[in-house]
Amino acid sequence: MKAQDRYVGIGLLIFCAILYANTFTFRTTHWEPLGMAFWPRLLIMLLAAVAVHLIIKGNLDHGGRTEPLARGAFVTAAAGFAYIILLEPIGFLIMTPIFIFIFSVVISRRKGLWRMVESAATACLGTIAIYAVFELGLKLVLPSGLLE
Amino acid sequence: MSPLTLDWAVIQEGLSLVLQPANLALICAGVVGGVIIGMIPGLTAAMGVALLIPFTFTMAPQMGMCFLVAIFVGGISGGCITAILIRMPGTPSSVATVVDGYPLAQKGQAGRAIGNAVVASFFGTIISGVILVFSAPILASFALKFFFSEYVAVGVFGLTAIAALTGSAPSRGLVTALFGMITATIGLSEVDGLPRFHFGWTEMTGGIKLLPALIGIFAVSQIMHEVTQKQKMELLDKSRIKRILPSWEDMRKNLFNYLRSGIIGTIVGVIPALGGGPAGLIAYAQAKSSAKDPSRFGKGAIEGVIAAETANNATIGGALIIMLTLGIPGDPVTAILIGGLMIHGLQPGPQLFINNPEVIYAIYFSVFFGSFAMMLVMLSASRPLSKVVEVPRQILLPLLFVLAAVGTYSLNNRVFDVAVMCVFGVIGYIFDRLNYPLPPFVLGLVLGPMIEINFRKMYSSYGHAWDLVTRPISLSLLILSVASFAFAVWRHRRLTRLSKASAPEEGE
Repeated sequence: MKAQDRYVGIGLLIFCAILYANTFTFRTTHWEPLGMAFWPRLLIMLLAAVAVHLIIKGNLDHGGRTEPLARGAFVTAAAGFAYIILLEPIGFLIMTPIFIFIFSVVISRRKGLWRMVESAATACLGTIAIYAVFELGLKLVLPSGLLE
Repeated sequence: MSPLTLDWAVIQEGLSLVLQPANLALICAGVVGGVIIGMIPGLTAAMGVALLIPFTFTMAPQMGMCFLVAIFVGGISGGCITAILIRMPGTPSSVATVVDGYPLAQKGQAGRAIGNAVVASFFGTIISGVILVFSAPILASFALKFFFSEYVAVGVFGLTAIAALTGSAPSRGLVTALFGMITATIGLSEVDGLPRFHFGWTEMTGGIKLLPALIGIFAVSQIMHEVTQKQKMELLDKSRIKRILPSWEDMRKNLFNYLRSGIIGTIVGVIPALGGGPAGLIAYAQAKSSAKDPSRFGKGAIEGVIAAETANNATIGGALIIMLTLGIPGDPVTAILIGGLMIHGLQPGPQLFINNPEVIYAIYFSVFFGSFAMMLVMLSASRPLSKVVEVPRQILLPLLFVLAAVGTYSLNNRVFDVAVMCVFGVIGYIFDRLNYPLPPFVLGLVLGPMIEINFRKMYSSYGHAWDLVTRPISLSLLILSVASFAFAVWRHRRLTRLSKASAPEEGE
């Protein structure tokens, strides 16, 4: 991407502005001379300075290439996020096989029925194995959700 | 008690703990898990330790650390198998192994290459382990003299070291380091006991915990990347893996190579953010320059494989030295190990040598026993283990994501932590794709609070910060920091000049 660092710089400047504004909501303390906004503000100002440098430079790669951001990766993250959000209300034993099955089917390059069978087997066996290790083996409590 | 004092009762306690059958089995399991994860291209030792860390929650701290160190040893070592067989380093540490390992495999000497790589990994770990045992107590007893100003200077030095190591664009390293430091300011301020950057969310007042952020940055971002990869991994014709045990002749001829590469790897391991990849490349270059016939290198020279593998494994001891004595993560794995120690209420640093020496000795012994286990496992089971790389992505990736999510959830039984993991996965993926290095982020996350807390305590105690330049240790560290930064600027300018000079030539 041409001038990719410029876009990163602009994003960082916006990020810095939001954070800097938020430092004014910090409670003022009288027991310590520097105050708790001192350090974050210093870091934000440094980051803003680097962001300005990135905006001026535009692209630090000097003709080198960076790998493009893939949409599939963000879809994965979004699906993962949805899984996490639903994990507590619906429960591990229901959400996990559904998530694994969908994830596996979407990224699989197999065709036909075998794709479904393989994904279903991964979902069932994977969920059982992880549940057995964490809940039964390590005695960690996983969200039971609707099964409670 | 000084860290230099040898307490034989504690050493015996550490040894007897490691020698318990359950613990030995745990070390073997950790090594096998690490080797498998290390072998699969894309999955790193950091990811392995991050994914398996929840298994240590219910263990005693010593046992937990033994397990994690064993994964570390296995993870770094496992990468050589795929580097040799499919020209794809399982971990970034094995990048130099490819250069001569794959040509050897093509010549039908894959077994010889793997055998020598495994033995070299063993020697590398042992050499760095010995250096760790003898140098860590000395450094820890030196670190006991540290006060606020020294800790600030150590933190600053750790951060400037990354500026020197972030390729041709130090500003990118600076961005990720500052981002890590800002991330560390979210939540309760340790000095004031009041929240910062919580944006009205109750969960945010608890702050961003180290482990969810690291699991996101190293495991989830990698899963996101792997999802988009199309190529299928196929092994070389396995009939070519014949005799795996290396010959006595190969070992005898490379005794000095083991030693030199082991020392190089340990020194590189001590420097924050460098890691196994550069260590292997530096040792490889040294082996090549001192060889009688350097032209053999790149075409299947066993010395190249040995140098690379000895050095990348030797970074384990080096990274553990500064992690244990100063609390500075030498690489992402040790950052996660710091998180593992903190879960058990232990803080790495000189006090750990005094208050919990049994943990220190357990770590020492697990380095040695882990490397023995690694050698046994890899020499006896390289052939069946190599089939792991053929596990389809559609099976592996969903399971790894769930494992990462469940592991993160089990830290505090909070869905918020898992969401943090996911958010940092996205941030890590974006940084990684745009060539913004991730190790500085980890250093910022760990060293940021160290600098802030000690600086503010120093300032509130004395009303000034002159201690930074009037106390000899902190002054020396600050001078080193300036030198390190100046070196980074000089190198960056030189690289820019060289690339500009080579551009017209290419145009012609």
